[in-house]
Formats: sequence, C-alpha cells, structure tokens
Amino acid sequence: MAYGDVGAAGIAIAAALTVLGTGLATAWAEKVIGAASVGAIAEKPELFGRVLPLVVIPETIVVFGLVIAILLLGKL
Amino acid sequence: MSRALIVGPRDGLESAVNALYDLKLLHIVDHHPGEDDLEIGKPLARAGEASEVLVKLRSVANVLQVEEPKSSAPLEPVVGDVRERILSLELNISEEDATRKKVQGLLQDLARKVEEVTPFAQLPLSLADYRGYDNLAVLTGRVQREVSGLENVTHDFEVFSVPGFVAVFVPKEKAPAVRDHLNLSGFTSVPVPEGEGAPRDLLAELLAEKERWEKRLHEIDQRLTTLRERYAGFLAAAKAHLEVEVEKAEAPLRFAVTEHTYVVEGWVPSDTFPPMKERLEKLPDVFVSQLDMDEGPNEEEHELPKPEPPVLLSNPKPLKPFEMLVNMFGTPSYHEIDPTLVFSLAFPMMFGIMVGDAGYGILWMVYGIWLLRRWKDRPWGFWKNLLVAFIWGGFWATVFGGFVFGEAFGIPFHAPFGSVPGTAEFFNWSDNVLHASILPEPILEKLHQVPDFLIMSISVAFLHLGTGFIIGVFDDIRHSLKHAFGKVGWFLILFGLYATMIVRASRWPGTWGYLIWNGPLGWFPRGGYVMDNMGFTAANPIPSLAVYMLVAGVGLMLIAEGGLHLMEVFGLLANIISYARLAGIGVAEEAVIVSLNVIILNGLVLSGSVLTIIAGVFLMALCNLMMFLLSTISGTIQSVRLNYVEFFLKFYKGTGTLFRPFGERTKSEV
Repeated sequence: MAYGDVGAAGIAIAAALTVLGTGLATAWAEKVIGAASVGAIAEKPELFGRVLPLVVIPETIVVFGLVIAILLLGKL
Repeated sequence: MSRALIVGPRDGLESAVNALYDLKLLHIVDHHPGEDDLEIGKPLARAGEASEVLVKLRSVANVLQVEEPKSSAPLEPVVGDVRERILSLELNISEEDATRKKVQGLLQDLARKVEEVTPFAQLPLSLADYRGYDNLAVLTGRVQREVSGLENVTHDFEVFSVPGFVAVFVPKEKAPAVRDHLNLSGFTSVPVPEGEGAPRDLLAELLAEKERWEKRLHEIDQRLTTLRERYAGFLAAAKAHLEVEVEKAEAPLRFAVTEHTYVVEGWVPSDTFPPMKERLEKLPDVFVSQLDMDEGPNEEEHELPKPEPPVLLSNPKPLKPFEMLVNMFGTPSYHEIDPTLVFSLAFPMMFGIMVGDAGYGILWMVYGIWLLRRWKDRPWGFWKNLLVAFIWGGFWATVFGGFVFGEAFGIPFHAPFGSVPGTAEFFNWSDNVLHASILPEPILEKLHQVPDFLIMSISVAFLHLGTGFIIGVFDDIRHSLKHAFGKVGWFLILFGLYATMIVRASRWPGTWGYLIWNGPLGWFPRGGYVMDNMGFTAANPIPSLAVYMLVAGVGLMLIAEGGLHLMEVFGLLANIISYARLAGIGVAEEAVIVSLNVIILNGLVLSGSVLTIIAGVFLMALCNLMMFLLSTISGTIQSVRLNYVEFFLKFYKGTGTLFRPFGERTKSEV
C-alpha cells in the first residue's frame, strides 16, 4: 500500500475505467461488424471461416485494456 | 496428384461415365466452352426424366414429411420401376394433400366464425333483434373495463352486457356521443354475425360442424402417416438412386466433345492412376494418358497460370476431425504445408489452458467418448468433428488443470496460498475430501499469480507464432526465396520482442519470467542496454542480441516485403499481447467459480446439517455445470480466434480446393 488509501482507490478506479472503456469500445465495434457478418453468412454459409476473424478483431482492444488493468492493479 | 486425360468415342460416353462413377477416383476439371474449339457435352437422354422424377419425389417427401435418414446405415435396394411407383404415389398423395389443405382452410373459417358468435351467444337476444331499426343504433363490441356512467350521456339507452362484452341500444343521434363514452372503457366494435335465430343455436351448430371437419382432418393425417411409414424407406433409397442417376446423366456437361469423340480432364492421386487407366482402357477405343504438369515454367505459356491440383488431406485418424476446422478457414493449396497437425495440437491446448480445470477436462473426455460411441453410425459432420476436438480439449484441460493449475471443479487440490484453515477459502480436495496428499502441487495458482499467467500466455504466443513463421519459411522457400527471407525476418522480430518482454519480467526472482529467462532462455547472451526509466536496470538490461535481432529482422522484412509493412511490427506486438486472453479468460472463469463455491460452502455446506450439505452440493454441481458450459463456449471461440487470426494470417493462405472424386456422394444437395 505504497500510495495510501486515496491513491489506492484512484488506481482501482483507473483499472475499472480501463476495462469499462475498452469493453464498451469492443462491444460497439463487434456489434457493427457482427451484424454485417451475419448478413454475409446468411447468404454464403461457407464464409464463416473468413468472417470470424473479422468479428473478433476488436476483441484485441479489450485484451489490451485487461493487460493495462492488471498492470495497474499490480501497483496497488 | 496426376493430371489425367481420357479420350473416347462419343457413343461409348455412357459406359465411360458409369465406369468413372464406380471407380470414384477422378476429380473432374470442368471444361469451359470457348477455351479451345471444343464444346461441352449434352446430358444423357435420361437426365430430363430422372430430374423430373426427382422433383416429384421431393414434393412427395415434403408432403409426407419424410426426414433424411440420420445414420449412414445402408438404404434398402431400389427395385422395380422407380418412376412408375413415384408417379402413382404422387397421384395418391397430391389428392390427399389437396383435401387436407381444403379442410384446413374450412377449419380456419369456422374458428373465426365461432369466435365472432361466442360473445353474442351469452346475451339473451336473437340475432334478428340487432338489426332492422330506423331510429336506433346498435353498438356491439368488446370492452376492457366495465362500462359505467352511461346515464351521464343520455337517458334513452338499453344495455346488455356480460364481462368483456356489451351491446348498447341508443337513438341514432346519440350514437356518436355514446361511442365516445364507450371508448373510455376500451371499446372495440364487433360486427353482428350474419343469420337469424338465437346465437346460442348458431354457435352449437358451428361447433358441431367444426368437430366433424376436425375428425376428417385427423383421418387424412392418419392416412398420410400410414403412407409415410410404408414408403419412407423406399423414398430415401429412391432419392439416393435418382440423385446418382442425375449426377451421372449430367456429367457430360463437364466434358469436352467433338462430333465423334469426348475428352475428360481431371486429377487422380498419382498411385491410383495405373489401375484407373487399366480399368478404363477395357472399354472399346478409350485412351487414357497422363499429362505432365510439373514441367518448369514454360516461356510461351507464361500468361496462363498453371492449373492448381485439388488436395486430398491425409492426417492420422485421431486428428482428422481437425481438418474440418482448418477447412472452415480455407483448404490448404497444393503447394502449402497442411497446418492441421499444428492446429490439432494448438487448438485443444489453448482450450485446455483457458478451461484449466481437471474436473471439466475429465467430464469432457468421458461425456465426449460416450457420445462418440452413441454416434457411431452417424456420418462425420460438423458436430461429430467438433466433438472429437472437444475430447482433445478435455484431455489438455485435464493435463493443465491437473499438473499446472492444480484444481478440479473450481476447488484447488491443495489449500491456496495464505488461506486460513477452517474457512471456505481453505476448502480443498486433499484436506477436506480425500484426506490424503496424493494430488500434484500447482505450479501456477491462477488467482494469486496473474502476472505469471500473463508470462505463460506470452510464451504460448511466442511458440505458436514462431511455429507459424517457420512453416511460412518452408512454404515460401519452394517458390520465392525473397518471401522466405521475409518470414525469417518476422521470426527474428518475434524473438527479439519476446526476449525483451521476458527480460523485463525477470526482475523478480521466483516469477515465471525469472524462471524462463534463467531456464529455457539461459543461453541468451546477457549484456545490453540499460534503460532505467523503462524498468530495464543494470541487473537486467535489454539484451544486445535481442536488439540486433529486431534490427536485422526489420531490415530483412523491409527488403523482402517493402516499407509499408513496417506498421505491422506493431501489429505483431498486438498479436503477442492478444494471447493474454488465455490468462484473462482463465482468471475470469476461475474467479467466478471460486466465488460461487465459497459462497455456497460458507452458506450451506460448512455450516449445517445433512440437509443443507445435500442442498449445497447440489447447488455447487449446478454452478459448476454452468461454468463448464461457459468455459467450453469461450474456450472454443477464443482458441479458434487465436488460431485463425493470429496464427493462420502469418503464413497460411488456404486457397486450395478439396479433392472430390466423381462418384463420391456427400450429403444430398437440395
């Protein structure tokens, strides 16, 4: 507890906000891509393998957020 | 694969088609008219009739609701004249079907009438009473609430009502005002049904009629069911038979023909070419020859791309189901290394790391193998292939859950670090259930060693992506040395980045970073650059070799692939960090199941009588079942993603076509 209570709370809130923000960003991006992809798959089911990578690309954002959050929590 | 060319006289076409179909060896390359002066063949004479009968058969099967047979059990042999039997069956059934549709229409009509008359039947008036007034308006309809206060609008009215329905008689000039008042009670007008007499009698009549028709419909349905039972086997067999007929009869559309001869081109696995040649040349005047496709680049034909042979994947039987998942991304081309082998290790291993629980792993293995035995007769479809992938995933989940993370069903093998004996957090298999310390100690406690878990994920990334680049080098070396060097460059960049990350993580003795840096990477030269503000102190400087690797790698990559690809170095860094999802999902699922377990242990199991213990164990089983399903879903999706996006995009093109010999029937296409 090198930062005192207020500092610790700040770090915890920062970590939470990181995950919140990146989570929302990912969700929004996947919503847009997902809707388009389902449309494409409905027409051509064999596209599944090609479309899945596109849908999950934004997930990287939230993984970054997670890493940052874990690093932040490591400072507590 | 060998390219075969078959030439024969046109009047022997049918026997050649039959022979090819029975051989099931040739992957026919469709002839496109106009490429040379050869036209495509005409379908055999029976094609039209066979497809017509097939269409009739499908309509019959549709009316009878005959389902595709699920098992690959042999169909009953087709005997007699299929066409004759199907036409007579169709005649029979179309009549029944028409009657059924008519009766269904009538029943709908009757149901509507019944609904109309029902409310009137509850009022004590005859239908004639609602009509034929000069000065009176009749408002009939449903209401949502009881009508009250009508006398505030007018005194000249008469109301008949039952709950939910009213009939109001008022002078015509008052009608609009009364209607407005009724609207307050949610009035919707219902017209008075046609006819005379008491609505109650009318209703009884309608109901009787409805019953009569329902009985009739039931009879028709029964007759159709009998027909279905009797003909289902025949229909399935006839359908398969006709589909074969149609495919055979339409095969000449894929051939090239001249006035007197036909020419078929296609691919055969090289070792089966001689038997095919021998069999086909038994037919009169047929010549089979092998075209040499592997001759070096021909200057004159340079603009024509060399035809790409189809591929027949061959993997050991237990790994064969993974071909489906690879094909879902793309079939390897003839000149690519089939990545199925690496995929079949990497996919279930990552699944195992994310699920990371010996209990769930064993559950998947037991359940999967049981289900696989039950599905013995099923053809190898999507779900059956996926099931084998899950069994492998279960195996790796058991390995990682048992020997690395040391837990089953969210309960640790040994008391977690820092927990107090007697509390729910302390609860573990060795002390509380088995009372013996026979289970392995965990190497990595998920909830207490998150940074170590991240290092483990990054190491997986290094191994996985490194394998990808190495396969890429071998893929490219055959046709372009430059591209192969590019892949070497990427591998060097990857190694440099990984070494730098591990050095940074090796600052704290005892962590996984420290262990890897001084264990598997112990040979790596230590000296390098100190960057205190970034955490690279004099004790663990950025290794010079890692920096040289990065510089050399970027140099090679720039020469081989061009300056634009510089951006992708950051992409690679993102890819490596992307593997942190292994740790992220592992920790998240662990946290959920541990907290559920602790809550239930505290509330029910540890603090009570036999009854609460039973309830608690039941509840824990339920929670574990939920997590079992959740971890399977996320484990599969994330593992597929890491393989498709991070791994395959590094080296794998997947532009091939699967070898599908003429005569091999996959599932019927509608």
